[in-house]
Amino acid sequence: MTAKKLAELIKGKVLSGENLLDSVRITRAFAADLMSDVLAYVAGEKKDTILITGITNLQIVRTAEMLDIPVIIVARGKQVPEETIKLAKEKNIILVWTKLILFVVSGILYRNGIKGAKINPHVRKTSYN
Amino acid sequence: MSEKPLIIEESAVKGGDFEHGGEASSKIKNVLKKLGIDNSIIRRVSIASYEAEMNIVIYAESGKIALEIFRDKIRITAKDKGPGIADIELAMKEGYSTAPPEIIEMGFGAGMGLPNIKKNSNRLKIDTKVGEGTKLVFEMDLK
Repeated sequence: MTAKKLAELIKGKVLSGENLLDSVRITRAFAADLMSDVLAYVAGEKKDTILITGITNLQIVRTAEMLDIPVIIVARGKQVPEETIKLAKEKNIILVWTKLILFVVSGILYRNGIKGAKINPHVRKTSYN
Repeated sequence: MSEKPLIIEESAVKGGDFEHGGEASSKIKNVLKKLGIDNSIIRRVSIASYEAEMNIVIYAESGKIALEIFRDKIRITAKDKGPGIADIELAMKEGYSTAPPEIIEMGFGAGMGLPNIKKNSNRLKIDTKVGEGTKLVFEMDLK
């Protein structure tokens, strides 16, 4: 799916990367507020995985930069600080803002064929017997 | 193993400076990209370096991140003046964290940092002294 379609589906407002909406294609997503978890869990080098989060500080853009995540969705209608938008523009990362909560954003994208992110095989696997 | 690095790049990191936290790792990523290093290695170095950098921002007063590129490996050294790590074994456990709630609200301090650095490196060495600081040295082999 294109980033443009994604932004439409979640009734999002595009805060940065407007010019990239047609060219960026996504197939997977990871939803989290803990950037440490994003850094530990998200695998894959295809630049097709997006981040859905309720965090708005600069570190969401830094995290996306390190992992080659091309799109960040900020959920729950939280106001995004100007410096976060500025850094996203600088790094050519699409930032989409939506009033929908993380659960609903995830549900809409899942229903439209977006799959869960590939997970690093080396993260801890707990099992309860 | 006393071979000299081909490239050295060093950046200062300020404790508590969340606005600039990540810049050093961003710089490192760009250097590696320009050199045409394999993407999967760039990714591992970027993740580990960013984790180490954020640890300095979150916990330490000040620090430095250095990148050294050798013919056969990449080495990152993250050295800080800070509280040190009291129990390395605990700190290496996934999910163990001493981060205060305000750090967790910012999306960090999940207790994944050090284990994640280890997993993305071929070698990790930790030197730490409580009340003085911590030095992490980690290396990724170039194939």
